[in-house]
Amino acid sequence: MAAARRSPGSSPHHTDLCCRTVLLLRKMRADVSRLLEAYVEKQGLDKNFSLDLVDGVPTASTEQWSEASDAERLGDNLKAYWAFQTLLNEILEEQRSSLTPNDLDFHESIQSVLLQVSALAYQLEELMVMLEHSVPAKELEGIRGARERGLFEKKLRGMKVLQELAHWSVRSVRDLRQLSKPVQTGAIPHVSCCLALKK
Amino acid sequence: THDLQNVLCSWTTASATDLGLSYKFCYGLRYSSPVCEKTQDNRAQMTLNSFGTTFVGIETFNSSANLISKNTFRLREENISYVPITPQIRNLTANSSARTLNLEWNYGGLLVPFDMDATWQIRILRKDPIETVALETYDSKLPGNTATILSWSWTSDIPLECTTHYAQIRCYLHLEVFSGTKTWSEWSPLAKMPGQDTGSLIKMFPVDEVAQVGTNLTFCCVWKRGQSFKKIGYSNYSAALSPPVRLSNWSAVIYVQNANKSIEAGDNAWCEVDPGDFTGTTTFVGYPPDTPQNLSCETSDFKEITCEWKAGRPTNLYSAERRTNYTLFESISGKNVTYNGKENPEYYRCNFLVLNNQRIYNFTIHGSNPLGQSESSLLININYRVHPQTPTALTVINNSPTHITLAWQLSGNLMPIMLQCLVRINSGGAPEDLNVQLNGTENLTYSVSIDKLRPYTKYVFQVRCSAIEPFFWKWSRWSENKHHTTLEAP
Repeated sequence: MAAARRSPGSSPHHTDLCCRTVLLLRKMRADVSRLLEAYVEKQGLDKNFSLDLVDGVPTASTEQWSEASDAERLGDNLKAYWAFQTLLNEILEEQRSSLTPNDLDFHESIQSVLLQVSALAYQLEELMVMLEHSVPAKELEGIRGARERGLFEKKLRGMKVLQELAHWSVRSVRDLRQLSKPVQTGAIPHVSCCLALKK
Repeated sequence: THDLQNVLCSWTTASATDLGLSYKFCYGLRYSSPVCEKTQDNRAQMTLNSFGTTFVGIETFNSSANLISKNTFRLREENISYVPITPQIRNLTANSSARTLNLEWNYGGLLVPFDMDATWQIRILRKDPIETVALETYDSKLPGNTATILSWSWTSDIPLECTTHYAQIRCYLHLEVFSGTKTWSEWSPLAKMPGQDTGSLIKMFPVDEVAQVGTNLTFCCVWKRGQSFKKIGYSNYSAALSPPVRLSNWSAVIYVQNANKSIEAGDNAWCEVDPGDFTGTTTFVGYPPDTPQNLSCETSDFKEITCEWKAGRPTNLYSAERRTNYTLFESISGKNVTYNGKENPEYYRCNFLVLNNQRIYNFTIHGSNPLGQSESSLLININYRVHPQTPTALTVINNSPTHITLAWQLSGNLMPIMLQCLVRINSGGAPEDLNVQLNGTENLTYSVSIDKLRPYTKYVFQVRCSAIEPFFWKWSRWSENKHHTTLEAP
């Protein structure tokens, strides 16, 4: 088990917040995976459906991952989880009103993930402020075109949201660990982020 | 003839080629001077002589105007065919959700000199190459000398968006008065209802349909120019799927036989095309509402009537758009109440305000969902449907060693009826029941005096009430126990 390395300028509070965020991410990842499985079954979908054409969902994969600055890393994460909040709310409303109106347990599991995403966004924002990064503006614009979509498109979209959310929860852990990496120059404080914890 | 006035004659010539031939066409009655006309065509027109013989002479001249032949004919009405004027489709509209094509055409006026029966044949065509998918016959009456607008509709087995549909019509007039042969008119020109298979979009139809268990479903996929169709899949894997049938360059359809219940969120049909495109639709397969069962209506307070019923067979259709909506109608007052409680309860309940001076109520509970509707009715006199609420606030007053007065409350204005209340007196041994009759009151309070009690003894009192015969309907629930110990004897 690797010892927690402390970089210059990182306070125990940073580390604690970062640890809590990583723990939350791990829990969320497990919950999202279970939810995705239930979602695919309850919507009568096939997990091998190609979702490439479903747009409007933040994608975790990015070419510039390794060159991103800490501010960009955290900022991208924060914007993604803000978007997921809106998307998960939309999914929950679709399930309640039209697709599975009687499946209250299912709605609760969506709600639970939604709460975790909200908590995650809050913690990431707090971390950015603490690390003196400028917090990106929150785009409150609703996702366009929701009303015209047929139910099948809505189902696919929900599947894509949960798939990408699962990917993001992995990326975010790596992003936070990337913050911990000591940088040769620059005065921006770093944070030591639970390196001792299991991946 | 088309109009029973003019006769169109046409003829053929024996000569191999008609080049340069001309004709002199004459017709007339036996003793009248003929009417003649010259024509290059081998057709001419004459007046219909319904009640006699028309003598026709045709002289054929070659290009040098030399007479090369002369033919005469004797024509009576029986030798002439009546061919109705070709009807024209005036209007072709589509109702996509109902999958119906609605044709409108007009006919009649001078073409129909008197009332007569008419038979219409309507042909529906589609696909590329075009083929007839329906040939339907429709009978109607045509009033004489009156232009009539007729309409007819056809329900398609596939969504109308799947491909372009065409309609054609012809007619046969039952002209009893005409002794010649009667034939069908020509087919009208094609009327066209464009589909969405124009190569400009990729989509599946129908979109989010609701279908009944046991019916055959159809799903079609239209795709874009440059794409190539791969497959249509359906998520209810136990269903009997037909292989895809091509409708046109950019449209294919599959048929699902004898559809069974879908999952709550609906089964999915999806379409895969190359390169890498994908679309789909969801369909909800369930039942129309069953006849509402165990409909029962009662009042506990002469303020409100509560009707309850059971839904019967589950419809397997949920959500605001698809669930069964219930409305309680009362036909005497004309009022109605809509159920807006929980979805799929074991018992549905609706409250209906008691109306002044109305004792008889004719209730009908009407349920409807996208697949159909059903209803049940019940006629009641609310005097015979009193189900008092549970007696409450049992109290003992006028306490003495052998006698008490037991009071309680019963909500609702029960003035209109006589009550019977059963007081259960329990002092450890076998309980004793005291049945008392009381006037219904407005102020909720009732009491009864009980004597022959044993001094200094623990008693447990309970009460329940109902309307007296013949108005009895149901007992109220038993009240809470009222524990009381009588006073000691002096």
